[in-house]
This record gives sequence, C-alpha cells and structure tokens, in this order.
Amino acid sequence: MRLFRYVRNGLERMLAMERFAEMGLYEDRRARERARQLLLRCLTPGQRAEFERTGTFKVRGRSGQHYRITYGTTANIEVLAPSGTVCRRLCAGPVGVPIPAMMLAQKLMLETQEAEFVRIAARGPGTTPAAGFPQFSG
Amino acid sequence: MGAMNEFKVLDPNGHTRTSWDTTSAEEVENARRVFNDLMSRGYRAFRVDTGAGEGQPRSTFDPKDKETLLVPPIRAG
Repeated sequence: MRLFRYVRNGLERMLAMERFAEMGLYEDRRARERARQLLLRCLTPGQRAEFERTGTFKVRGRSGQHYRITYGTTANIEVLAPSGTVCRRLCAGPVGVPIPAMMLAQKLMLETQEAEFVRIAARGPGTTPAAGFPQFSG
Repeated sequence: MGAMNEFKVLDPNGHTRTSWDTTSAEEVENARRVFNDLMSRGYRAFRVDTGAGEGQPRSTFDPKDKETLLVPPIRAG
C-alpha cells in the first residue's frame, strides 16, 4: 500500500511538472541547455567569457548606452551609468522561452533596435523610472 | 545539392530549426512561407554572424542568409 502511494505520488508530480512545462512555468532542462548553447554561439568572445564567469554579459546600444543582461526573468536588464553603477532596470522580452533564449533576444534588440526595445520596456511595471538615462524621440 | 541555410525560431524548446537547400525552389518557398507567417505574427528576424557575435535585423526573407534567428514578440514585463 505504501509502495502504491509512493509510485502514485511520483506519477502525480511528473504530470504536474509536465503541466507546468506546458504553461511555461517550469523550464525544461534540455530546452534551457539548447538555448544556452545557442546564446553562447551568438555572443562575442568578450560577452561569452563574461557570461561563463558571472552569468551576465554587457551590451552596448547604438546610443552608446551600456546595459548588463543578467540571468533572470524579471527586470533582468541593468542600465549602467558611466561609472558602472546601475541607474535603472528594464523588464521586457519574449514570453514562453527559456531564460538564455530571452537573454539572446534582449541582446539582439538592444544592440540593433535599442530605442524600440526601451520604449516597449517603459510600458511595463517591472521597469524602474528613468534617471539620467538617454531619452529616445519618435 | 546547394548550401543548406536555416533559421531558428526561439520557442519553449529552446529553438526549432527550419532549413532549406538554396537550390531547391520548393524548399526555399516553404521556408519563405514559414518566415512570412511568423513575421505577420510579430516575430522579429535577425541574421546572425556567430563568429562576430552580431545580429542584423531583417524584415524580409533572404534565402541566401546562412543563419537567421526569429524572436517571438517582445512584451513589457
């Protein structure tokens, strides 16, 4: 009876994890690893070294602004002041992808479509108010 | 057989790959159809140069692009 309960509980946990995965709440390890490998391939050598060392990497927008993309799902982009301190956080990205894939999307956007990305992020509650941050017109 | 180019669509599995033989009109057309469908749904395309770690935004399908990433719509969090 105890063994039956043990097996049943295990199966229920597995089914719950599958449901979470379908809902995007539980990240599949294989998916995360695939996304991580793709991210590593798409980083510059400097970014790759930084990411492997710290789990973060810096990008530079067309405006000259520097950002640090950190490993996380919420407000994971730090807007860096010239001194290197964090003056603001941005929260925007694609939904339903593993974290490394989100970081890759954020890198591509910030490096090539910075103004648009910042405008989208500004609408979200996870983005902190601007302070000493370049404003984009248009 | 010509060069095999591909795009990768970021998704819950990490990414899903679509590749085409550049000399096959049928494969190119199929890839173009998938690309246009995703773009109409708000995806963004970036041609990537993995050696340099750089991406170039793309608004139209170019079968000659070796590797393209398709990113789902960006939403504020």
